[in-house]
Amino acid sequence: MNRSLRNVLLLMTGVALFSSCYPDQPDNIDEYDIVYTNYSPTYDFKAFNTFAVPDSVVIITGDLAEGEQPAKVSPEFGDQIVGRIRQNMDRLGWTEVAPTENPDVLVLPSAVKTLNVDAYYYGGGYWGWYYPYYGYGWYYPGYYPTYTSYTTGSLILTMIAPDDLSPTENQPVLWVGVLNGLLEGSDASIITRMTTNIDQAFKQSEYLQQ
Amino acid sequence: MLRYVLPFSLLLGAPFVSKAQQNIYMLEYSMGFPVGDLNDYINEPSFRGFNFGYRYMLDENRAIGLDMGWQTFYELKDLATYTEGTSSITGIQYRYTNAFTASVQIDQVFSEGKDLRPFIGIGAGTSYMRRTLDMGLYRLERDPWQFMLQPEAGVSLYMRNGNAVILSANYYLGFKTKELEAQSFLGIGIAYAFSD
Repeated sequence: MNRSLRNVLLLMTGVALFSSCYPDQPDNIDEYDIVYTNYSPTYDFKAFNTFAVPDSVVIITGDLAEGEQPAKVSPEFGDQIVGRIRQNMDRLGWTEVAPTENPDVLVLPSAVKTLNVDAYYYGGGYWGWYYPYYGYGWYYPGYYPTYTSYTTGSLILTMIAPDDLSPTENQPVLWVGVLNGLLEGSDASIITRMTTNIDQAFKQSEYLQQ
Repeated sequence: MLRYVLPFSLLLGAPFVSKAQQNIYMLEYSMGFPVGDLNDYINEPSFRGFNFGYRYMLDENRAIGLDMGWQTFYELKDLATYTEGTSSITGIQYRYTNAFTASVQIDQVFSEGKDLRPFIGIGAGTSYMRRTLDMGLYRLERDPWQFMLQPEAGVSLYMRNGNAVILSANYYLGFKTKELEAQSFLGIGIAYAFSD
């Protein structure tokens, strides 16, 4: 094999090796944020007018024992969440009343937090990054898996009608908004992302307009 | 400029004396241009492609062989809201399709004895289309094997040392499966070919 041919082979092999199946990935935490909403078409939202929202945000941790109180999100975050829900409901023309004043709907915020641990393999820039769930169980000799952890969280906004409450049946949900992303970064940045995404949940649900 | 042009031109002018039943190997860099459903999913050309080809010369003008390739398509979709029925979702999407292709090819080569030899060909094989959608912390993936036809056309430029540079266009025509619509793209490539 002559030298020029060998150079071409080396060049093309290099191009192949350095090409990744996934050439770009998110650089910033907020690029992982998603906002999901859904509603029940059986309800006419214009038939409702008043709403109530609790003062705190429940953390979903699993089943509770009888009489056990659920954990709450710290007021630093909880007050921001509840306040933002109020602002958006006001903007859409709803009237807030106390929970004891028979509101047409309740907007119930709750939160879920999960710690994730992943292993990945770094090949010194030679093989690129391969996450285990891509299906690669091997790693290049000399390079060993590295572990990383990150916390993800979801804020769930659920709208229900108290008149539908039943102790035996599942509670019908009129509207739901789910905000999902990484719970990483400073408290201030998390609050900023959270309020932006709460706004987005209502923005993409204009059918709630009175 | 002339001193660069002259040596290159000296490479030409010596017809590649091919022998019957000759083995030819090709290494190709390729660009991909999605069409149809693949274009709806990723509306960006791909500059990440690599192909390997082998041809067995049946005689001076006909060849049969094998093509194998890999083309990566990618597009970043800015923050947007997607609605289907009563549900809506907002986020940034990272869309990928990795196309792995393999086919048996038959070629007809023209202009025997010339430096520039056009050719046309047709092939059939399979494509493994790995379509990935990353949104937020979630990944959706579909990866069907599709039957594939691969018509091709190009021109070989033979050099004094008997090797050749080949410019070619390949149309990778996928066929619909239950899992995914037909995935097709046009590949434009430049290859270096050599024989054993």
